[in-house]
Amino acid sequence: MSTAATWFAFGADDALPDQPTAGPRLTASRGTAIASPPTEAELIDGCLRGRQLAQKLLYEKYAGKMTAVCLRYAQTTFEAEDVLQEGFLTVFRTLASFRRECPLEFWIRRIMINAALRQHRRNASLVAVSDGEYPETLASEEFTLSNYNFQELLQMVQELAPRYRMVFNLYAIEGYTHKEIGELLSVTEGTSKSQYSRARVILQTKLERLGTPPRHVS
Amino acid sequence: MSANPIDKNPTPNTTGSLEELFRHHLGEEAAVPPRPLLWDQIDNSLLIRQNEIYRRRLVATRWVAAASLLLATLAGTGWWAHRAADLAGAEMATTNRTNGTGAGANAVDGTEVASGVPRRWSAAAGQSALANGTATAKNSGSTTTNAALAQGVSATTTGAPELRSPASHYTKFGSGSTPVIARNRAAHGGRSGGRTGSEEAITRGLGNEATVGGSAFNARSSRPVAANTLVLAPGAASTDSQALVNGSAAISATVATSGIAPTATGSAVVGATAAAVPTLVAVAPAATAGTAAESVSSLAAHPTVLSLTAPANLPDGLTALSLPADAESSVAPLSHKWSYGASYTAATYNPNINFSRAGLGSEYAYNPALGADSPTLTEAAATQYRDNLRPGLSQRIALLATRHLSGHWSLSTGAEFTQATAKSASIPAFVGEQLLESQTTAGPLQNTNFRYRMVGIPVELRYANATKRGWSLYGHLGGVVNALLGVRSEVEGNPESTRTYSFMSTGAPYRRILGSVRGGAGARFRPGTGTWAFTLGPVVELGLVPLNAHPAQAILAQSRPYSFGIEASVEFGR
Repeated sequence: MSTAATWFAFGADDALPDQPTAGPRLTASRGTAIASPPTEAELIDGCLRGRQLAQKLLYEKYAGKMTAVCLRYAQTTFEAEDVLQEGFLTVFRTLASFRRECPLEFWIRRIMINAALRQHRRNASLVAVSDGEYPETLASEEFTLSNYNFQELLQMVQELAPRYRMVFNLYAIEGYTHKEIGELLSVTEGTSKSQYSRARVILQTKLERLGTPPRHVS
Repeated sequence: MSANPIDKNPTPNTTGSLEELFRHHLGEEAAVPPRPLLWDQIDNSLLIRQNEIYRRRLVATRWVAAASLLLATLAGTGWWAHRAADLAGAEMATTNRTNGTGAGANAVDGTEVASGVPRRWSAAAGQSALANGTATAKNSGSTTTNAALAQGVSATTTGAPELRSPASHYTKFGSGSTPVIARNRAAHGGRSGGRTGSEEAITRGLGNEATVGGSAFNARSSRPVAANTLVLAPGAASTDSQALVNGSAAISATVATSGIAPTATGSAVVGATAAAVPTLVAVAPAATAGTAAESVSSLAAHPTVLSLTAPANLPDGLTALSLPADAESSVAPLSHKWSYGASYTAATYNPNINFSRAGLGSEYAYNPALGADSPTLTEAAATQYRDNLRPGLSQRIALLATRHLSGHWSLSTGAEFTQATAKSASIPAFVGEQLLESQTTAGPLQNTNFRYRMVGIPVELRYANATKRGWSLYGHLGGVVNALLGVRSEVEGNPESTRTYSFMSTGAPYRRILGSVRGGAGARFRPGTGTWAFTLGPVVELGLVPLNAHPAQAILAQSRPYSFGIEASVEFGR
């Protein structure tokens, strides 16, 4: 369902805040629905008022990106959907605490990461994944970005052991420091570093096995 | 086929490190469309959560409404009771003012005479004057003193219909060798017309507590409660002789109904009435006129002389007099050591169980169907259970017997029945120690509802002003020994997982006998009339032992159940 097709449904009763009283959205009929999507502030205020449509629009706006985030942290699609669902429920429940000092997307992403970490903590003692046989270290390499696609790389990440996957995601993609990762995962900074190093070796080996030889840097 | 928009806009053959490679494809711009029905699940969860919030608000609203209604009812009842008592007191005061003016100069506080008993004793109206007057009248025929006697006696006689003399009090006449039971709940003095000098004597005595005849009289009571009501009618235009006869009859009534005749030689017993204060005892003064004593004895032997005036013949306003309840109740409780009551408590109860079994041996069998990973899976489920454990409603009904100790202290015990609930959630079905399935890594949380039923024997030390009318404060502290009758664990949507443990079940993961300490305080209301009291206040209970039978933690680290809520109780008998 497109945003434009559903936006009129806010109607007079569901009028989002920050709208002019006699604005076009309030007077628009189904046939003349306004095509412009609601602003972030309108979505937030609509969700805070419990408007179902605002919640759906907010979900539709960020679900794609957040699904990608959850897939990176989860081992399976089902697990990622659980994290996504839990994360969005947390978003709607705690939206009142969002202080609008940063982009909403950033805030939602943090919530998703936290939900994924909770899931990781719940499953940490239950899942044991073998690291496999990998060399201890590899030389520094450069990769041609266009030689790989999202699905291949995602699969590589998902195949990592949970503790490696967490550290790699947090450090390489989210940009956390090892100290922060240590606090998030309740491990030492050194542990985070060693696990990241191990994850990196594993991924590098897998990239090589894909058949596209990386270009070694002297 | 990748759904990532980045893949659809390939970067022209740029290179990067491993981190840049993954950040480029999986970073902030990566997006994957979620499963279409996922929003429906989220929306459904939001709806369920919203309904749950509404339901809790509704429950809270109902509780508040019920509490408000209860408080309003109590307040209204209290106001009504106080108002009724005030009206009765005003009526009494009006009548008393008629008779009790000119408080006697001879009146003294009866407590000084009452052998140390901290109760008030009263002498009759105009006793001193009557005693002296009687002696003089019999010997000299003085009209003035006869008139005085007439007034006093007349009043006494008319009041005789309601004279009662239970055997709980006695009075020593004259030399004090003969006890005479004469407990009178006195009322009012006569409204006499044509009063002369004796009127002063009567009115002076009314409403005062006095000793009579100096040291010749002692009074003591084991139950200093005024029990008889003496209503004095106008002693208008009594002749001297009539007054004397009536007065003697009254005296005899007082003495005769006690069943013990005065034998003090040379003592004169004259009418004794009491007035304004509720607790009064009619006494007779000692006098020097021996003939009066003879007259009394002779009249006592003729009960017909003591025939009482019908209450219907009494003037309006004097027949329906009653004492305010405060007067009676202020002295009554000491004789009622026991009181009985019932209480209801609504509280939030947290079983606070930690089912973690780390450190325990394998003798506490894990579910063998889960294989070698059973301990690990069970431990994880126990962690989920504890993380999601939420307190539930606890309701308790108790029947209590309270024994008054001393002062404001009392000890209560009885029996109680408690039903408590709690809720938790875990991905696998977990009903307490045992894991029922191995699905632990994915799937939604399964809610589990727990219900605990207990019977117990509480013993509590209470502090309350049991005699105070109206509102007062109370507090109690004690312990409870509970027997866990049964526990029911019910996994929502998974009826096969329901487990029920009874008190006799073997292998139950719960402790059968529990101990806890309980304390509370609050407000206590006792109406102006009646022998009941209502209390309302918060109560807290802390378990002394964990609810689970096999806690793995050290004693000080164990998690114990607790609850806090509101307790309402009704007490009868004091």
